[in-house]
Amino acid sequence: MRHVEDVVVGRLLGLCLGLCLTAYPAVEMDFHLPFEKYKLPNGLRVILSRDTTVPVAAVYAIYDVGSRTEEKGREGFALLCERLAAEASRDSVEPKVDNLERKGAAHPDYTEFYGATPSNELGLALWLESNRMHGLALTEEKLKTAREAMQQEAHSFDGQPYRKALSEQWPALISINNDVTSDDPNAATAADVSKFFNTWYAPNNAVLIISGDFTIAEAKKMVEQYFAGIPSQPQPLRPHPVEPARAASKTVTVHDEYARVPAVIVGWPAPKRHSADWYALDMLDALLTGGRGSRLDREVMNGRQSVLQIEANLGWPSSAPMDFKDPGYYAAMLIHKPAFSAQDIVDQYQQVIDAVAATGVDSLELKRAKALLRLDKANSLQTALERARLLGIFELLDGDPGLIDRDFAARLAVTSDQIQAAAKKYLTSARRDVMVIEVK
Amino acid sequence: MRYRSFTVAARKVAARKSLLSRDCEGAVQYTGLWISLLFCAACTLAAQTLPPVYESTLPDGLTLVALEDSRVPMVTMRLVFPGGSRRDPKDLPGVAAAIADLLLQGTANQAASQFQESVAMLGASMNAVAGADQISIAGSVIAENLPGLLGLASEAAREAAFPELEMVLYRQSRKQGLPRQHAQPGYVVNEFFRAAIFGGHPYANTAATAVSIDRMSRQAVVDYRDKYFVPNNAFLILVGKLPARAQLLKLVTEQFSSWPRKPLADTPKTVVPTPNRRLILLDRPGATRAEIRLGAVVATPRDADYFPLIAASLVVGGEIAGYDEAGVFSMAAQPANEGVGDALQSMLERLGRISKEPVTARELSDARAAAIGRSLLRLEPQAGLADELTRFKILHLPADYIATYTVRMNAVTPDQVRQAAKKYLAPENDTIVMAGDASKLQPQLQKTGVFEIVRAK
Repeated sequence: MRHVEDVVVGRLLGLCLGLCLTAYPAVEMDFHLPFEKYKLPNGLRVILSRDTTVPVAAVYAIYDVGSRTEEKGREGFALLCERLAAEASRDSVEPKVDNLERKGAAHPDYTEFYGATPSNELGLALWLESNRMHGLALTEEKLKTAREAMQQEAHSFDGQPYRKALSEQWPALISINNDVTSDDPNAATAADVSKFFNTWYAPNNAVLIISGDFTIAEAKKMVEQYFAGIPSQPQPLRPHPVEPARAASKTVTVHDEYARVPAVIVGWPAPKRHSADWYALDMLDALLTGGRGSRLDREVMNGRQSVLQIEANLGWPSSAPMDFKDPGYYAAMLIHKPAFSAQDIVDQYQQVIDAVAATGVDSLELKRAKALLRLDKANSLQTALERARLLGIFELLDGDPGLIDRDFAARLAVTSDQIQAAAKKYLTSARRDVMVIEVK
Repeated sequence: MRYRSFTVAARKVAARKSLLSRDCEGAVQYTGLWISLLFCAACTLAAQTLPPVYESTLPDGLTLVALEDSRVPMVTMRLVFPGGSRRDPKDLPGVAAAIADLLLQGTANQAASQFQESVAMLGASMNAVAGADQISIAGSVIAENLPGLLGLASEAAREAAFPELEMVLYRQSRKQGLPRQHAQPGYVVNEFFRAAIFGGHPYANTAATAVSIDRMSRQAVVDYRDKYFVPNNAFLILVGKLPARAQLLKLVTEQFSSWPRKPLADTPKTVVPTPNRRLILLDRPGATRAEIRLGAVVATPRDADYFPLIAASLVVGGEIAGYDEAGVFSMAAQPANEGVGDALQSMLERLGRISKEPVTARELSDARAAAIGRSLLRLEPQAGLADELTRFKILHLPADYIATYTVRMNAVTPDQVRQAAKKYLAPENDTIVMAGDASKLQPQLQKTGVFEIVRAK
């Protein structure tokens, strides 16, 4: 649909806008989130971040355990425990109103439980979280039920297009640490699971964040009351996954019997989290795939009319770049028209990246990407829950909740040269892994 | 998949293990300790204290509604034109929706792709939506680029080109989409439900038809736009990190001042019909599930009965929607064929009970807590606040509506709930529309009444 003339005019207009913008003071992310951090004698780290604008409070608990940190023979325990912990708190309450709904998820490198409530329900939310941290009160019967529910749920995704590629085949290809054992730890007894839970879901392996409308003194009192009595456990030794040096890039082909439209997944091992290169890759991703008018949208989706849909991210297909401690990767999935071969698509995609590696990006393009990122960031920081989540992730995975201010500044400081260098160094055809998804 | 999430229905504290007993009048006992301020939204949460809402009408008639929220460096905008789908000409349902869909598809100065690129360059997002009572241009932008966003919104509102080519493409894609919409039982049931409860009122028409799509000429769209998109029929709602007052006024005036005021066209008088129970069964032979919609027209959000109705709808598991001239109560269910009779009876029994017996203290306090909690969580992001201010203007709500929502919800008594339910929700008033296999469902419906059978298209 997009014509060449439009793009040229669009750029000229963009140039004008760019110049007009400079008339306003150049504001970077003028955002600062105050917080207070302390530790209970049992090792529980607590972060309080107060903002009384709206009478809403979020309680977010994050544990240093995830699907990549399970010991050998304990695969699947993180997800199982997350379920059981949910079940445990369900037992202790009866349905009330949806404002008190608390959710949880097991990620590759952490597990989280969270919810936002009207601020006067903060005590209840804290009580529910403490109840969970207290332990599972697990019986063989409960374990059996949870396992059956997990199996059922696993099967409920059967038949969805690309599911197997996304959840099993691709993670196994890109990283040796994404083991693909079944989600059904059948051999586990209630004693095994309780031991795992007590070790990894102990206060000394967790961070608790309260964000939003509350008073510091009252929050501290309630935290003391509900959490101080939970005993600490010997600090478990968290496995630190290491990826071996790669000998060669890999290409595999898989068949998807449910998908109608073919796709390719392309990925590269990523640099260290929060390194300058990592930020540069993150910005490159925004330039390549950040919505309408991004490079891939212009050149591949509209230009070549070959690709129908693109998803990409550091850590894709996990939920966010922040999900992986080390090591992570950058990956993209391109769903394309059957008229093009997988090789065509990989070549077209690589060409777009190679163009950045060869000539960098122009300042207007970078400005546009940064403006959109800033909107996105401002948007996400509006809720107490999202602020709590970021504080928790930065504390648990990076040991520094203050990154909530600095991480974004680092992101915005990325230069065109850095992006070009990162494209050249990391996103090369020699380093990439490719998964071709064929359909019937 | 490792990253699945679950939902804990961890909704209400307590009682099962007697850990905690509730007492709405005062404190709460919890494992022998008295803790104040906890566990009862209904008793402790005071009125919502919003920053003051600033309102000013510019010389051209545009009303500016501004609310300072400097938590994050962004601004959320709604440029709202009262009218919406209820002002669609009778023979042209869907024209308001078409305007919203085409409004950002190019102006006199910029083609669609350029316009979208201009939005992106600002670090902004923009879209347009038509509702029953209004069409809105909604946007958000990083704070320092507010002037640019206002400029583009003003450009779209005044100079949208509705190019002939885009009109052709729009008619084509809307028409192609109709069979898919009509294949969804939920969509069809909603259409019939609204038509049944609203009768001759324009709220009955919600979407374009194959006939109206063919009639949707560029001229028809432009006529509607010219009639309702005038400054003296517009609200500009801004929530966020705003410039100082004087500067803001100057800015808005600059962007909108050359827009000529125009006498507003007479709007046709409309009368909301009195409840007229209809029972409709849309036959979909072979369906294994039924789609049920049950409900009625109720009081508007301005009416004293509205808050008791919110409580009543939460107690029975239904929902309530407010429009300028009416409220709508509805309940929905998708039972398997063999469970349809039971599902329907259960819904009607709940409605029968709530219109005869007072709700229990527990039911009421849960409903209040749910309503207040939802409302507060909705107001947390700027978009929620901006939408609430839109609602507030469009529905002509009293000035203290948002600020006193909590207080008014808490003031609802069991008796008010019963009376409002009796007046509006009693089973004999409720219209029922369902889609499903008539041969399987009919035998289960005799208890309820005689259904008109409509062959699904």
